[in-house]
Order: sequence, then structure tokens, then C-alpha cells
Amino acid sequence: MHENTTNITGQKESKFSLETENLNVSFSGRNAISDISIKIRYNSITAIIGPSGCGKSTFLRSLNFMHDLTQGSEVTGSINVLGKDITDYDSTEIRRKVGMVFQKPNPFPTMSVFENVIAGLSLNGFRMMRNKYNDIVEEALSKAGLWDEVKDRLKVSAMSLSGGQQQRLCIARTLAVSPEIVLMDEPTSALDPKSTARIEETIHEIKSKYTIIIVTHNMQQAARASDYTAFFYLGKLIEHSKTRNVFTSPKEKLTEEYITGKFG
Amino acid sequence: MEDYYAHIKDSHLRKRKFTSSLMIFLCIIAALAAVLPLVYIFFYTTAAGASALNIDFFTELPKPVGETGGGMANAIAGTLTLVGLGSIIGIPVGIMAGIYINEYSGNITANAIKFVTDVLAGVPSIIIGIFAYGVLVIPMQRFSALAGGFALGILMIPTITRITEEMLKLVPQTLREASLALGIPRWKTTVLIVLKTASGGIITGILLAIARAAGETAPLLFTSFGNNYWAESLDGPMASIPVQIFNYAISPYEEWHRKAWAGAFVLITLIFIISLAVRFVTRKKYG
Repeated sequence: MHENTTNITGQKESKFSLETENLNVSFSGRNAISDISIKIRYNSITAIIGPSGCGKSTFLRSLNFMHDLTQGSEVTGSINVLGKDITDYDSTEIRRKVGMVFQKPNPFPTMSVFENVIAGLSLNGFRMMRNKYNDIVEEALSKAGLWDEVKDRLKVSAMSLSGGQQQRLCIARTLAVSPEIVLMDEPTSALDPKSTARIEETIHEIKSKYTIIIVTHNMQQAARASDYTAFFYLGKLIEHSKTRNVFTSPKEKLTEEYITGKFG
Repeated sequence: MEDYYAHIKDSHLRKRKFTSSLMIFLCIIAALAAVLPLVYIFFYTTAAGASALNIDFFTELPKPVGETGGGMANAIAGTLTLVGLGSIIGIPVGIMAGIYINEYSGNITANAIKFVTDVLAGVPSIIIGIFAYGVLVIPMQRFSALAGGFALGILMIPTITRITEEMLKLVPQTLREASLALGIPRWKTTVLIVLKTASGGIITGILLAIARAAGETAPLLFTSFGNNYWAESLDGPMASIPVQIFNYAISPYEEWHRKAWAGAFVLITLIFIISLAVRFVTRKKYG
């Protein structure tokens, strides 16, 4: 395929970590998203924007099998993750490759900061030396930009952190299982502007190592933080292009109307 | 400045304040009414029972009428054994049923099971005793501690099931999603995240069930029966504090009445200690 390039080791490698083709997701027979074909590049940040109920979250949740938790969900079309069809993965395996950060910070309340970060490893039975855990925790918290703030209180309850810190802890928890793709479902909508800025900074810092897809209600955020922007409307992908293009010269009238605030 | 509250007359304010104080007063009375019987029972049993308490009471077997001294050692051990047996049956079944209802079953099954457990909770304990008599005592041809433990276990199930279910319902869905999104399998999510988060409330439910089981007399009357000596095995009759209290209390002897009071005191204290111990052992690291 023309999108394939040859990497140093001589293997054929796609430029895209994630591709969907004619993806449809319906709940109890009602279509939530239809015919979504999108290609997401490795180590890029893609923002998904669109009015409420346009299927942004559904799309995101279909990428790591989370739609499976909703009763009556049905998927047609194909999703290709890291060169393999999603149905070839086990649901726990795909979720380790494709991490997710949720709208509201949801650290595990029974665990300390430290335990929260390693939860994905320890609860999955990856037993390792304490030192190794320490390294992982420091690395994950540093990536999430939280290390300096919590390094002296790793043993305190995760619930004692502020909302913004909790969300960065959730990011660290997601990164600790070393995913390749990180999905973020409106990660800052429950946070104050300062914490939001901090999280956007974090996203920017980790982008060189991860493919990030971020659903956002906030168009400024999409414009600030992303490389690519996809605009969803009524369950359809209307436009997907470089963020600069989408915001300065959208091809579709609908996109233009949405980003200029005519509806939504 | 305009006084927005001008329309509120002083007399209105006074009336409101009076109503408020009156209601708070009624609440205090109600709270006292809830606590006082317990305090009264506790002090009364202590006063009446403590005088018959001595080391012998905890180490000796009951003595026949007329002989002084003797104790309830076999009944104390019996109650602990019976409640232990009941817990082995009731706690796992209750918790797992609660998990099934809230985490795995569909609505129809869940409602059916909930309805049945509610009915079971309302079944008089003596009928549960008769049930155990029918399924264990008659086929085995003898009274046994196993049958008693079985009856107590059945008695504990509905309380534990419903409380487990209610507590799991309080665990936010987002926590389950957070765990699953880390690639943690469903069963581990249920046990290590959901159940652990709800553990405080579930433990309260278990303690309620244990306390109730420990004080039950009726289901033990024709299952574990009673025994004036040490039980030889689990499939033979076994003494228990409530049954012993019952036997002593309906006797015409003054000495036995005092023993019954002492037994009641020990039973209450035992439940108290178990509750404290369980709370201490399972206390949360993070409040």
C-alpha cells in the first residue's frame, strides 16, 4: 500500500496506528455512529469535536472495546489497531494497548497514589521487584507532570489530591501499563482552567511517544492542543484534517458553522 | 438600603424558631428512644448477670440442679462454632449472590432473586429451623451442630445478599470503567476494585448477620439441640448460649436464672467483641 513506509529494520510499517473502515456502532438497534472511516497517525494528537450526542464518545469507546459494557451494542465495519484487526485482540489485551482517560477523575479510592499508578500492573498479576515498581511510578508520574507535586506523598490516599492532580494521576495510571494509544474522553471538562492548562501541557509532552485521541467540547482546546481535528456530526465524520486547516479553512460548510458557533 | 425582609414580622420569626427548636427536640427524643433500650438492656444484664460470672463460668461444664458452681464453657464454644459454621455458609453465598445480582445478572433475574431474598429475610427463624430439621436432621437421624450451622447460615444469607447488593450499587460505574480500561479482567475488577471499595458497608452487613445469628434460639432448638457436655463432633448435638439461656430461664431454679442472666451478658459481650475485632482487622487504610 502506498501509505506504507519501510522502517530501519526493513519491516513494512504503516504510518497509522489506528484505522477504521465503515465503522458503525448501534445501541439496541439505534445507530450512534455510522460509516466512520478514519486513519490516525502514529504519535499525533487528534481532537474529536462536535455537538453533544454526535457520537464522539461512542467512537472513542469502540476503539478499546468499552462499548461492550453497554448492553445491546453492536458493531459493524472494521477497526485496525497497530496493524491488527481489533477482533484479533482479547478485550483485556486491547485495553492495555489502548489506554483511556475519562471525563471525571476516577482514581481508585481504596488505594494510595503509588498503588493507583501501578494498579494496571499489580492487579494484572505482573509481579515485579519493588525497585522496578518505584521506577515505573516515578516515570509515569513524571510523564503526567505530577511527580514533583506528589513525590513526598506517594503513600497518601489518592482521594486527598485535588481534582486536577487526580486527573493527572489517572493519566499516569494509564501510561504505567505502557499503552501505544491513549484515548481521552473530555479529560478536562470537570477541571478548572489552570488544571486544564496543566493537562494540555502534559498531553503535549507525552505526544512524542503516544498516539493520542482526545474528545473535547472545547474548541479552543482542540485548536491549541491537537495536530489533527475530526469533526463529528449526527454520528457521521464530516471532516478530518490538519487542525490548522479545519480551523482556518474548513472544507465543509457544516464544520465552518460549528466552529464559528452557529450551532452546537 | 431597602429591607427585603420587612414583610417578615418578628412574631413569624419567633414562631419559626420555636418550630425549629421543637423539631430538633423531637429528633433528640427519638434518638434517645433508639439508644436507651440498648443501654438499659446492657446495664440490666450486666447487673443481673455479672454476679454469677466467674472463671468457672467460662471453663466448666453445667452442673446438675442442686450443685453449685459450674459454667457454660460448652455453650460458649458451641455458639462460636455454630456461628462460625453459619458464616462459612452464609457469608460466601450472601456476598456472591449480591455480586451476581448487581454485577452480572439482567434486570429480570436480579429482581426475582431480590424478591426471593426479601421473602427469605421475612421467614420466621423457627421455620428455617424446621427446614434444616427436614433436610439434615431427619436424613442424618440425629441432631447435629452441622444442622444448626446450616440453619444459621440460611438465616444470614438474605441480610448479607441485600447489603452487598446495595453497597455495590453505590460504587460508581466510572470506577469499574477505570479498572477495565487498564486491561484488568472483569472478575478481578469486581473483586479487587468494586468489592474492595464497597467493603466497609458489606462488613457492616456481615456483622449484623453474625450478631443476629449468634442470638438466635429458635432455629437451633431442633437442629443443634443442646448438650450438657462438650460436643463430641460436628455431627452430634451441640450446646449454644441462647438455647442454654432458654433452658435455664424456663427452669424454676433461682441459681439457674442467675446463670441465664450471666449467659445473656456473655452473649452480648461476645457479639460486641466480635464486632470490634472485625472492624479493627478490616479497618480501611484510607478513609
